[in-house]
Amino acid sequence: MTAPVLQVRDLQVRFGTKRGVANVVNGISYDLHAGETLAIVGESGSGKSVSVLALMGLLPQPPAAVAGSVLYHGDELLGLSPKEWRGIRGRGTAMIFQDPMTSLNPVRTVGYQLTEPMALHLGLKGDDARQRAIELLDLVGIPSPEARIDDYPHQLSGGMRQRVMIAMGLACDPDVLIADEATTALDVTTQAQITELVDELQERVGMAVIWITHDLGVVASIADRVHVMYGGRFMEQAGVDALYATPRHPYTEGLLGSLPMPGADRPERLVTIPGLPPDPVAMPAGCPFAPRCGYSDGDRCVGTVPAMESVGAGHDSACHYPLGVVNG
Amino acid sequence: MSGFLVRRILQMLLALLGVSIVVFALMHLVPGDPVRVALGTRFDQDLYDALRERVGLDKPLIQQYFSWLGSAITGDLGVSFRNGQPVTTLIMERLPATITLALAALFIALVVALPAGIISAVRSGTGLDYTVSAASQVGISMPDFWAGVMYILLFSLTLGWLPSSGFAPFGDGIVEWARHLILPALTIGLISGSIITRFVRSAVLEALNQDYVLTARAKGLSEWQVVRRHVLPNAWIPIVTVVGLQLGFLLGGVVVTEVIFAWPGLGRLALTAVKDRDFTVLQGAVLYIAFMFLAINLIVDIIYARLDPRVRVS
Repeated sequence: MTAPVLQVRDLQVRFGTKRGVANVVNGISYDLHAGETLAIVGESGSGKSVSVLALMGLLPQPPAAVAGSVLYHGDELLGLSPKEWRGIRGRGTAMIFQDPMTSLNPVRTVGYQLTEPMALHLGLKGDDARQRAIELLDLVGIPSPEARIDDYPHQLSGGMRQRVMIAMGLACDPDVLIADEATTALDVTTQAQITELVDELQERVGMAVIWITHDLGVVASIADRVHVMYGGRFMEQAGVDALYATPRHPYTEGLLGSLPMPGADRPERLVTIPGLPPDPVAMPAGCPFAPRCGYSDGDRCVGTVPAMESVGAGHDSACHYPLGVVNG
Repeated sequence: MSGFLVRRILQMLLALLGVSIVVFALMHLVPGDPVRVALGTRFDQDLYDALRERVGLDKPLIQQYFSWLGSAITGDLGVSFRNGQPVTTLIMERLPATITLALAALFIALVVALPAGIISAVRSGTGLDYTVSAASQVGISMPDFWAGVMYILLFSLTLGWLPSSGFAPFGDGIVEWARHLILPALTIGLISGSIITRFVRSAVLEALNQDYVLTARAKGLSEWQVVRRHVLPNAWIPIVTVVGLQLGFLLGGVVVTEVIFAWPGLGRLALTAVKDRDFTVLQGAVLYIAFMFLAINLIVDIIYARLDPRVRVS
C-alpha cells in the first residue's frame, strides 16, 4: 500500500471555557489513503467536527489547544504558521460544510466564490478561472452552468448550493476532501444525489474523502472504513461491512440498534441508548461510554480507558469486553 | 428596479403629505399669536386685524392649510411673519453652511468609525476592542454643548489655532473655510462617529460569525481577505442604514452646535423661528428637514438594492 495522504496520531483538542477545560477530542489516530473514503460517525458533541476543523487549522487558538500530530504527505501540519496553513487549506485539503443555505456568501455570485481559491492557489484568473468554474459546475451536475455561474446563492436550491460547495472544494484538486455533515441539511432524495456525486467524483479524481456524519445510513452507502466516535475517542474502527455485520463495541451495537431496518421483522420499538453523552468538561476517568453501557462491569470500565485493540482483520474495538470475543 | 423606485417615491410623497399636515396642525395648536409677537410693543387693533388678513390668518384652518400646501408644491413656502422675506430664500441662504457642516461632520465620523469599528470587531475581546468600546462610550455620552465649549477653550482660547465661531464661505479661500469648519465639524463628527462605531462593530461581528466566513477561511484566504471580500460586503447593509440616519439628522441642522459656534445653519434659523413664533419659517424648516430625511431614506434603499442581491430580486 502507498504511503497515506494523511496520518493523524493522538490528536487532542481542548477548549478553555468558563466552566473549566473541555476535552473535546481525546487522542484519535488514523491513516487516510488516496482514493479512500473514511467515515467518522458519532452523535452531536462527540467531537467529530472539531477533530476535522483541527486538520484544517480552522480552530481559533486560543480558546482551542490542539496537540498530537497530523502528517500531510509526511509533513507535520500542527504548528504551521498562519501563512503556511493558508497554502494547505483549499489546496491540499478542502472542506464542505453542513448547511449549504448559510455556507455560501449571499452577496457574492457563484462564480466569484468558485474562482476565489483558483486565483489564490493556482494563479488562475479572468476567463481561464471562469472557464474552469463552468467546467466544475458541469462536473457536479449543475444544468446550464454558463448561466448559473452568475447567479447568487439565493437563486439556487439547497441541493444545488451543496453542489456549488463541492465544486468549490474541488477547485484546486485537493488530495483530501472533508465533508462535515454535508448531507444533513438536505432532504433524503438530495442526500442520495450528493453522496453519489461525491462517490463518483472521488473515483474520477482519486482524492481521499473524510465523511463526518451522525447518519449510519449515509455511511453504509459510501464509506470504505468507519470510525465510531464517542466522547472524543474512537470506540470502534472497521471496514463498513464488518462493522454492520459484527459490531464489536456496545456503543456501535446501540447505534445500529437505534436504526430502523426496512424489510426486517419490525421490533416493538427502536432501541435507544439510555442516558446522555459525557460532558467534555467532566469526562469519565475510564471508558467514556461506561456510564451508559449495559455491559459495564462498574470497575475496570469506569476506572481505566480501554485501549484500541484488534478484534479481527482490520477491525479494532476500544472495549474491555468487546462483543463476541471471548476474553482470556 | 424602476418599479421599486416609483413605489418608493410615491411612498415618500405620501409621507411628506402626512408630515405637512402634522406640522401645520402643531403650529396652530401651540399657544402664542405670531402677529401679536410681530407687532410687539407697537400693538394696535386695526393694524393687527389688517396684518392677520394680509397673511391669511383670518381664514378657516383647512383653507389656510390648502393654500399653504398649494404654494409649497411650487416651492413657495410663504413669507416670514418677522421680516417679510420669502421662507424659501431664508432656507436656501442657510443651506450652504448646513450642508458643509453636515458633510464635514459625516466625513470625520466615517474616518473614525469605519476603521475603529472594523478593527474592534475583528479583534473582539482584546484590549484594543475594549479601548475602542470605552472611547465610543465616552463619545456618545459627551454632550455637544460641553464638547464644543471644550474645543473652543483648547483650540481657540488656549492654543489660538482656530477661530471660535462663524462660517467662511468657500469663496473666501479654502484655508479660512477649513479653519472655521474644523471645530464645529469635530464637535458633532466625533459624537456621530461614536454612534456609528458601535453599529459598525456589531455589524462586522455579526457577519464574522456567519458560516460563509468559515467557508472563506477553508479556501485559504487570509484573515484580511476574508474581512474585505466576505465580511464587509455583508456588514455594509446595516452600516448604511445608520449612516443614512446620521446624515439625515445632520442635514436637518444641529441646533446646539450651530448656536455655540455662531454657525449660520438651519438649526439656528429654526430656533429663532420658534422664539419669534414665526410659523411660516418654522413650517418651512420642518418640512425641509422631513424632506431631507425621506430623500436620504430613499437613497439608502437604492444603495441596499446595490449591496444586497436578495433585495434586488424581491
